[in-house]
Amino acid sequence: MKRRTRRFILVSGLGCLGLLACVVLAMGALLFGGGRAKAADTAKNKIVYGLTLMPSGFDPYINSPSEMGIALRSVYDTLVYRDPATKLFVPGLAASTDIAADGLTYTFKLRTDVVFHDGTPFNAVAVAHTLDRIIAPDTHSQKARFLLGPYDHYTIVDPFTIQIVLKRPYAPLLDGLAQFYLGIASPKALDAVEVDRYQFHQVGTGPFMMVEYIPGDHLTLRRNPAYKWGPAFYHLPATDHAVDEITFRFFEQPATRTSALESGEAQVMGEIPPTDAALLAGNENYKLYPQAIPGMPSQFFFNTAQPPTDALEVRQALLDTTNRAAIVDAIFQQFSPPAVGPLNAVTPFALRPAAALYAFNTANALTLLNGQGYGLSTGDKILTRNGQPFHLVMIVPNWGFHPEIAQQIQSQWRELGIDLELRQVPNYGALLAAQKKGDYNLIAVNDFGVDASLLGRFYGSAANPSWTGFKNAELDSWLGAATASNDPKIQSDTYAKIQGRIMDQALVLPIRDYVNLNGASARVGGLTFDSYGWYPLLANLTLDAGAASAPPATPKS
Amino acid sequence: MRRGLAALFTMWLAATLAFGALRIVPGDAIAAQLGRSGATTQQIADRRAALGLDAPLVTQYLAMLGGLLRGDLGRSLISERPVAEMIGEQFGATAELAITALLIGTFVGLSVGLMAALAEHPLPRLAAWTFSALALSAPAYWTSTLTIAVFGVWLHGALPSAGAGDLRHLILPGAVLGFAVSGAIGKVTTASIRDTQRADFVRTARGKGLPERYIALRHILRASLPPIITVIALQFGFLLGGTVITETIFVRPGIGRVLINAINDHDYSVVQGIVILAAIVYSFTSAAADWLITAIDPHLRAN
Repeated sequence: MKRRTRRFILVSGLGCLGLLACVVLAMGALLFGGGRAKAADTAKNKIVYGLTLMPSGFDPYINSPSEMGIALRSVYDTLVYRDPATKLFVPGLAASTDIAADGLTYTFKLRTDVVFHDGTPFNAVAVAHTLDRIIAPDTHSQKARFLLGPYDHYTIVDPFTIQIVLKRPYAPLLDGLAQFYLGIASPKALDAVEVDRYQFHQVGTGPFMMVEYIPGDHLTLRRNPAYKWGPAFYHLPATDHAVDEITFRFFEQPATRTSALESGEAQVMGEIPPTDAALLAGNENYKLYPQAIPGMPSQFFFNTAQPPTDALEVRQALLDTTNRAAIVDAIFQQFSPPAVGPLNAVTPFALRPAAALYAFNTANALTLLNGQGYGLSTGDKILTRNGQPFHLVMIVPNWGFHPEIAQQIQSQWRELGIDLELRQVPNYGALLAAQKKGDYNLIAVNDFGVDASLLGRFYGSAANPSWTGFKNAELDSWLGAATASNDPKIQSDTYAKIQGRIMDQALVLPIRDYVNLNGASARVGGLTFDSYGWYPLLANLTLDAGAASAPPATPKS
Repeated sequence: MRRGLAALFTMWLAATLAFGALRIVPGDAIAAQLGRSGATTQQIADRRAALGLDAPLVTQYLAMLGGLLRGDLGRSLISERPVAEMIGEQFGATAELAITALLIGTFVGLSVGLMAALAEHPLPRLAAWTFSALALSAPAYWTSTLTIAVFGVWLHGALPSAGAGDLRHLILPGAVLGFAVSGAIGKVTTASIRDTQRADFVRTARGKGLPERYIALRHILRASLPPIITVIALQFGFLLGGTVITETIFVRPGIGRVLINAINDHDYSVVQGIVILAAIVYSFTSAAADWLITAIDPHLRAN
């Protein structure tokens, strides 16, 4: 009896200890945490910037998520930049760039006044070291390596001149060199740690320095006080109101983004849902920064290898049947313009048709479909041909508002008698698997970028994977010519022909030009973005600058 | 010894199921990773070969088991970092949230359960019952969002609703998850006490004229503890593996978010590592619960 009583006391004691721990934890939270919060309040010009994805890795040379660039764009400088307004190349770490007549050798004369965050001087050896890191097989680069295209080798001409030599002409090289994936890192920092640890100790020459990266929690940057070599669109030197420390956190759930702004947990946030954006736009405590993203629109590729979308007239009829303006109104609250072609309107060389291509015209669509043998039997709601219903399969990724767009299309097409089956996929791997299976008529996928050469990865006969199944030697030759030439006139003419052919052949159903809805506290000023649209120019951010914080007059891309 | 073998079997089974499930799901980590960058088919194939992903499944399976025996969970296909390191840096955040939630949930669940079972007036019994039902049925997504709306937006950030770092950041997510687990603990507590109240030895105690409070604490509560401890242990396992929604909404680091990303990326080694960790945690909590139960009631050990 006594032993059992002792045991009961022991167990009860353990329980009490647990409860005591709970109370201590709560009290500690209030006392301890309160103290920390006070300390944080005394810091000057600090903000939290909300990211919308949590990349699995944060190394620009290894990993591929573009989300990394929101922070890393300001940690690194690149050899060249693109001007946000004109999208033309301007000097970066390279004071001048010379492209040989054969298009194979790019000579970069480097700036001589640049120093890395760790004090290492910037020179041609540093550029070479970064290239070595990217090219090294052990790096297993998922993106940076591919931006170098047919890279062959580099030659250090003198301490401040380096040449990059290609195996064949590749005009998009400069575009790659303007992206943060090819930002130049301190050779000392690269050598200081193992390849997989560099992401925690990144050192560039940019306007912000990496302070700390805790995976899954936050990434902190602090202003580089020595920074004075930035391009003209960086507003230098920093004023008293310049933001000097930025903590990035990962707000993956769209529903939490606006409330994070409202609660003060974040001062800047990307990818605000359109319904919330409409509310923010009408609130003086916040500012909305809609930012058009160059590249491809939200779109669905037609599978030309699968009946009935193997017939051109059917694809054209489906384009005519789609009321893109209505979809944009319903889902994007008019924050995104309806797309008209294979490239967003803000992309250099994008198609700008005088009249809307494939404007909503159901009468024309019906004529085309009747010509293909489709018709409505009495009492039927679905078109049939030879007794077979007009049935289509659409592969729908469950991100980027694709499910909502697909449902709108399904509803619009049903009114004309087209039965559209939606098959959702949860991730890019599953999307690829669905493509490989091939039993679809439409599939949603797109990519972003300023360089129109990205069309080649989707529409060329050698595209891997081939989303459209379309093969055309003439289109291939144009895609090759546009990629090989650095002449803007040739590029302009060739990309016009390429986009014309894509739309003539009705290879894609473009829906809306992609616009990133960024929201920010009204206390934050100077929020502008680089030419790629995703990446803020953090060097220009200010806090509580009053009138100076008004949105800049610089036209948005 | 027997328990150790059972734990090993559980871990093997978990690793095997994770290995098989990921390979059945459509998708290819390397194609998904490199395909968007414009890699050629050959480049994708080379990368697969370098990682051993082109080997027959049996070879890959044996390589995985060999790695586990050596304590090597491999490297992430995406971040290239050691899986053990990735799990290690996230486990602390999940564990502190799970422990906080369990402490809150146990305290609240026991209180509510006792009230529902022992209160003489029907009103507190009804209130306790309603609370447990609400806690059981309210999805964490909803309670998390509501909590942020109240404490973050309406009360102007009275308590932090995003991130981790100090103990204040644990209060809201801990309370949300604690509320979620308190429902099950409360229900089981009530049911267990009511069962015990009908037992012969309680009737005997009453017949001996012992005071009701003494009977409740000394006889009823103690005899009711085994199922309550079991449900608490189960809830702890759930918390360690099931905090993903709360972690995501409260923008906290943690195992759950890493797991979801790894599943989406088909990052085999990371998923396998986390599943094995979950199996270890379940084995451990189950063993701890059994030990506590037998410590309370030695009859069970004899049985």
